[in-house]
Amino acid sequence: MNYLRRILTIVGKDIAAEIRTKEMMNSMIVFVLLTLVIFNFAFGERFEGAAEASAGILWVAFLFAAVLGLNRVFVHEKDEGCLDGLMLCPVDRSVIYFGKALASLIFISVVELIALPIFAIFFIRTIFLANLWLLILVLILSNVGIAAVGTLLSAISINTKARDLMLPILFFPVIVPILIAAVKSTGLIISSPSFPEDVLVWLRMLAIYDIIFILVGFLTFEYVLEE
Amino acid sequence: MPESATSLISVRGLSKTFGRRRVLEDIDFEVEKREFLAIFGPNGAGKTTLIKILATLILPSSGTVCLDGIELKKNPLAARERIGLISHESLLYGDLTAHENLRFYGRMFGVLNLEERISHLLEKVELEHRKFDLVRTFSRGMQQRLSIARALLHEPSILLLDEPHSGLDPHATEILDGILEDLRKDDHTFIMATHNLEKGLNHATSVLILSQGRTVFGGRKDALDISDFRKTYDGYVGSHV
Amino acid sequence: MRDWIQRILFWFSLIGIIVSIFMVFFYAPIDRNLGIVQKIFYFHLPVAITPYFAFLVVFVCSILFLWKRERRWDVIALASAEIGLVIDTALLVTGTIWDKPTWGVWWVWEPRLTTSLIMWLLYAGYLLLRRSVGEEARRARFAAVYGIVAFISVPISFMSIRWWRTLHPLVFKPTGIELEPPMIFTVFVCLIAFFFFYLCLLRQRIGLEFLKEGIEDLKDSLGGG
Repeated sequence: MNYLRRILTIVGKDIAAEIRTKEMMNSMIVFVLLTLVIFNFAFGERFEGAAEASAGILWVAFLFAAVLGLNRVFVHEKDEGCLDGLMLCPVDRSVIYFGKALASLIFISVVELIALPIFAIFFIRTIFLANLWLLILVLILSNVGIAAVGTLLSAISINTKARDLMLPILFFPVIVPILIAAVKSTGLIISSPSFPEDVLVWLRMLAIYDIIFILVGFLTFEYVLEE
Repeated sequence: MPESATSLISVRGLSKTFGRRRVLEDIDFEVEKREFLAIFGPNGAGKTTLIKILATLILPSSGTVCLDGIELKKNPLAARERIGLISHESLLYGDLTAHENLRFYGRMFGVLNLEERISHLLEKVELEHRKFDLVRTFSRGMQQRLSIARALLHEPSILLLDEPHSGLDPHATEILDGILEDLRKDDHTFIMATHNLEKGLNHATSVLILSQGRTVFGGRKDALDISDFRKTYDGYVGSHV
Repeated sequence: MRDWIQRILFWFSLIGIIVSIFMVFFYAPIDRNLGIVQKIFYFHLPVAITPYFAFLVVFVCSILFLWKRERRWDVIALASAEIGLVIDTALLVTGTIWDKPTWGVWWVWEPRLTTSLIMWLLYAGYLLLRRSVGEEARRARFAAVYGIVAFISVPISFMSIRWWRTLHPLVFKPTGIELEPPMIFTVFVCLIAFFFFYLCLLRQRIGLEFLKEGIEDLKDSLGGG
């Protein structure tokens, strides 16, 4: 119980700081919009209404924005030695991991929820609202994986010489299964008026990925922090 | 430092290597309750690493550290409850207010009657009037004072200080020294790493001099020739290099 | 002792490779459907399997490093990652050559080949990460964590790419290879020869790393003294 409370304390701290500065969210939202617009110019009208292609555009935009945000996850912990401050607290190192990952999950999800209607206006002609809950489920499952892997790799990349450059290089090849599953299931959902059976395969894939990488993050995070 | 089973802090055979680099080698010392140990040494002697190991921020490569009968490696969480760290960095979030910072750390430590404790400490470090201001807007000295309040939140019995005077103006230094003196009356035990010989010696009851990761002097202050400490210190450090 | 093992590995792999080349060209029959180009298969298969093995070694050594904190595990992981990446590069090149006669195009997003490409990106990232961390102990820790993350992601990537492909049936149908017993035997010999070649390279690379460290130690002792 205490374990959970401490995790939420870290999340609360991050949200309070973000609400004050809006540094991360503002740039992420603008970035998603930019990406969507640029894709539209790059591909013209070709992908309009083509469900899977537009789902691809959506997820590329989301992943790029996520990397942008994940890069910032530990920036504030680095100045003034705040990470040391966290590590001095009488909590397991995994509390720090889950706290930071949960905060990232929230930030990424909020950005996506804001961007989603705009994406629909830009790229989708017929909207099937019946499966909206399914789409939300896909978003959540994907974001959990992104946050679980991203937080771990962000803690690594913040301590490298190349910093911002390192995270995408480490992050994208690991996140491939999420990208495939998210694009596939989003494509199925937005193009189908009824429940698409095929989506179950991909939801299972996302869930397996999430479980595995939450476990990996939980087990290895302390080795990233501890010297 | 007399050896006894009841020492509050005991460090035995402590070594730390980073890759091929040996930073600390076979450090032994004991600190009794209410003692003030000053750790001196030139840059790169391993002072900060030693403090960080005592604070459970860095794992030792070999050797044991016991705080209040708790072995650091076996039960770091219990040890952290007893430790307060004041370093030259404030460990505070610039985007949060003074009050939010203290509340955050207080919750992480599970401090009871947190609001009372925060008001009490802010009063002590003379920052009540800036309670709801962002830490970003604080001067260096004010940040350091708030950092002292943060370190004392959970009422630690052992205070670790890493160059606490660095970057402070005379007024802030005065306040810091005043608080340290007050705390000594309240049964706190101190370990301070510093290159400021004068400050360190003023507070100290025991002295540890490190050079290139090894102990070149360890003992009570009385055993040192302090009439010309600079010369004595150079003698110890120099004899080793 | 070390020299002795190294020499055995060297001769084993040299003789093994010479024998395999002879077997590929003079012992194994020419494939009825694909003709002479099928010969690349004998090289392609061991090259395809070795990176997986090399990266498995990285994975195991990464875990051992985090557990034991002994530097040699880090050195073995580094050596194996480098060799794995080189062989993976060879795999991608032979893979494209292999694709042309079988599928009719140079590159097909076929699960195995695509997974090899993603693996290439993962371990290129692994080596870039190592270059990007100056402090030795930290580099070893970070590399070990990424060595674990990267390896675990490989089978999941493979699965997802396979499902991704099966839902989109391929346009090009491969012409199957019918393996005759001499062909199977040849493949087997090639695999063993290649395995020794990998071990030989690994041993050499580890030795090189320790030599490099010896030089650093000497430099330190000269500078410090």
